[in-house]
Amino acid sequence: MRRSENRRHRIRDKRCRTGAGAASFRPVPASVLSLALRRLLGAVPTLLVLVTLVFFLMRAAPGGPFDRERTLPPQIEARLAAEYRLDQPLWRQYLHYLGRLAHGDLGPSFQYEGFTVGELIGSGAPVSAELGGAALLLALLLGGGLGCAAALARGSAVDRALMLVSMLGISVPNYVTAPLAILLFAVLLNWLPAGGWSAHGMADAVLPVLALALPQIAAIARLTRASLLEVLGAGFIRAARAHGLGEARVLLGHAFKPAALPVLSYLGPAAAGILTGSVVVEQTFGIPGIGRYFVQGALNRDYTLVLGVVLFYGTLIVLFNLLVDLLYGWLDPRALPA
Amino acid sequence: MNGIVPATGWAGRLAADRAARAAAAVLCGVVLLVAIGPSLSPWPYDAVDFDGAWGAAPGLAGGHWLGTDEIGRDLFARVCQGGRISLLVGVAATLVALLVGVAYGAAAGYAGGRVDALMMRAVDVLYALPFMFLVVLLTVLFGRHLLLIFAAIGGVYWLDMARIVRGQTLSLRRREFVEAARVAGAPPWRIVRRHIVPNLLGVVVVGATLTMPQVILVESFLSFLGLGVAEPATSWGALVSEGAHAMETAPWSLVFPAALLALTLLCLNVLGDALRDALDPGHAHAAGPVRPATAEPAAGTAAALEPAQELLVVQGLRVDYPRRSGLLQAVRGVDLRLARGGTLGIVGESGCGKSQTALALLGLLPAGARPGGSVRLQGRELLGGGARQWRGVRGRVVGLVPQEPMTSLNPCRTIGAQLDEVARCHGLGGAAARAESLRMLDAVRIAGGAARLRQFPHELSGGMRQRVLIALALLPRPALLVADEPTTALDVTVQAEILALLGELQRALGMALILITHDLEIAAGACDRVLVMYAGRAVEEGAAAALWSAPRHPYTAGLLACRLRAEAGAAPLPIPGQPPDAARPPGGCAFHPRCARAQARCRDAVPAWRDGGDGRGIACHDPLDGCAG
Repeated sequence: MRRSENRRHRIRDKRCRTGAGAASFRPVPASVLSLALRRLLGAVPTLLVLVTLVFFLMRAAPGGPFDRERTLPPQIEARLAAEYRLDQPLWRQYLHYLGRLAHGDLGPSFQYEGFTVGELIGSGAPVSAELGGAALLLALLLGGGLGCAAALARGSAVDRALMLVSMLGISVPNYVTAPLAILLFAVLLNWLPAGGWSAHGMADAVLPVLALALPQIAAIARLTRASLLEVLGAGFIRAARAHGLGEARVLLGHAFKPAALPVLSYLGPAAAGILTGSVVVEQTFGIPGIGRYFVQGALNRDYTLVLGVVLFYGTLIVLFNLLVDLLYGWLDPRALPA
Repeated sequence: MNGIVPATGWAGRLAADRAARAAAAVLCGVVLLVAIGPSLSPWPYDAVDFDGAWGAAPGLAGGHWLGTDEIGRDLFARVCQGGRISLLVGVAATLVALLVGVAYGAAAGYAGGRVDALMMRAVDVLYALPFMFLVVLLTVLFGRHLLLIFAAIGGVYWLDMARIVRGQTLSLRRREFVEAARVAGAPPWRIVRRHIVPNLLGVVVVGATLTMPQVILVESFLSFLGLGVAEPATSWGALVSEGAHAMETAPWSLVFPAALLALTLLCLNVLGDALRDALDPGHAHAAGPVRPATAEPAAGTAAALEPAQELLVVQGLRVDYPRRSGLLQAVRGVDLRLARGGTLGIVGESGCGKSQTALALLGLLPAGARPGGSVRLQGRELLGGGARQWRGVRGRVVGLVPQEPMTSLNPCRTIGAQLDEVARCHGLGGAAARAESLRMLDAVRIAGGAARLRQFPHELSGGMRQRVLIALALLPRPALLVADEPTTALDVTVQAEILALLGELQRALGMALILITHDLEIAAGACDRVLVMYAGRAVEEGAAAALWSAPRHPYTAGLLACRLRAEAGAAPLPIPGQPPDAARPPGGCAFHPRCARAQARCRDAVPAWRDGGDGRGIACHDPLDGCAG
């Protein structure tokens, strides 16, 4: 929600190109591509700040990747340091990292010998994507549906109950719901498996996806309700009713699309929330995604792995926001640049 | 969000909110428990009771009221001790966020211009960072120092605060009292401290209440990952994490801290929401459940047969809004008569109930309204009818040209799509609907035909949009068109064009017209008859020419004098005093506090409606020409 306000500032007041096609189909104008390009370029400073910050933070921390309980012989330590360029001045290491990054190379992992960071992320990403994607989809469908139901039943007992439950959903974090869900459904009732990913088929996914989606379901339901209520009070809805349109046509044809815009803007923060939550949920349910690399990598001072994971998350969030902007332009003709 | 509200009122609204009261009470309870709990418990939080190792179940025996954790430490003492840390972090980190955010936001907002743009750009860049990961990283790398946790969490949430405060400051610095201080030569830091910061208090308090649960969440998140405070110290997040590991042997060690954490966060969120609603009443939802609109039985007798040419007969129309503070009476008994093809102007200041009257004719009153009285259209009673009946009336029998051309068209759909939809809804097929849309566009004098139909509302000027809205209203050929201040939002030159168009179409289609306006001249120019409303009642009615040349009600005379002065080139002189508050209209004649002719009986008795016998009616104890004194 907080991003949407900002985005509207940037793209407000730009006139839409009058497409030549019919109302339902407008060809993608070149301006959309240039918008995408501009936004991607605009993300470069953000990612650069991120890489720089994380790089120097990691190096400022006490300890190093090869600290063990048992100290290594000095020759071996020197060889390792030379191999990973740790013997060079910090600024040269930084520039070297940036140079490799420019070629799409995230470097070798310090901890997982013989693996590059790219390979590690590549192996965990599909699992994390399945989990996160399912949670996001569930949050959208269920949150949107419940929000609409609450708005249409405004003031009723259903509305009030839904809003109270959603307030609870926002307030209770993943790391509380996840173990509680395991306790209830896996330990006490024995209905669902307590962990793992592919051993039991779909049943494995139920609890983690629910635990991950729950806060977002609640947030989206509240947002949808507020947004739909605002649209239903808008002048054009009253006008549409005054012209004799039936209630179903007013809702489907006029209310839902404008009401979806703020929800769409929230997708960026929602994706960020799901990424953060996945660290917890993957750990609690023992799911082999990339969330575990982050904390483990930081604890082990695996410089490249942590940088790689943070960069991956950062890029995902940037891409998600870009996608939201493009969808926004498609749904709201006022937002398309000239 | 309008955070600048007078201090009076919001505290009362907050105290009236039951959910907020309950949340505040629970929060006080939690704080009290956390504060005195450790000294109540017979066991210190870090002492191990070896009898209770592997988890003793909750119970009064043994002094472990909530049981023990896996290694035999008293859970009650630990939950209280953990709460101390969680709440302390919550308050302290919120304060950090508050101080940094308010200072940064106020500086950016006060500086304005390029400095502001640069400062906010920096906020944008920081905003896009995955901050949670940075906080986690910080604590992983530098160990578990409580101070570091405050700083890290505060560092995330100051951005939100900075944005909100900057927006408020920008709007505040244009206010008169700030301008005055600047002209008087006060230094900037002093203006910010004296004039801007106190006015930001509302938003800041709300921001803080809503930031605190998020901060507590982050701290517990860190503790859950094992990155929070170090053993043996603990926090709710750390307890939940320990409980999660021990849940198979000691489920209570998960349930109790989790419940307390959830309860606290829930109450903080509820309180924050209530506080925001209280400080910003516009944001609040309507009070109480909305009752379906029900009509009282028609007042008076509508039994008399209506002559065939009579289109609309409104008798004793009332529109009430039940509020917590009492009944808000928007319309307090209005009678209207309109023949087929006739034109009636309804005139009055804003808030006199004229728009409410119009919306009641279409069954479009906002949720919460309770209409009463009788509205008979073509001999059929409309009030009290269901959705199906209103659908048959709207568009087909009564059309509406709304007040706001800028917001009355759907911004997401083309003009053509909106026109076609109305045509189809009134029984035309695809191609016929498009042809009809084009014809209507032509009828309202919009050149450009088919190309126009592909445009979106934001591509049209205000006057053009109003023409489109007229086309939409006239497409189903209604017998009555209600135009609710159709020209108020338009330029003066465009106003005349739109009024001329309306008059022309009214005559060409032979439909009746109700024109609602605050301008007596517009009403008298466009309509045969004029009804003047004040404070929800009709005060004078008559033929437009007669009313214009010889007003009888002092209020009508005031409106006219105001108009005539404007025409003479002098500044228009408004009627002295303010329009009445619809929630508390003055007793007696509602106009008496502003009336130069007011007498004792004007304060005491509501003047009855009297027919002048010459086609005019009036509700006044002492009319201007004395005809009915």
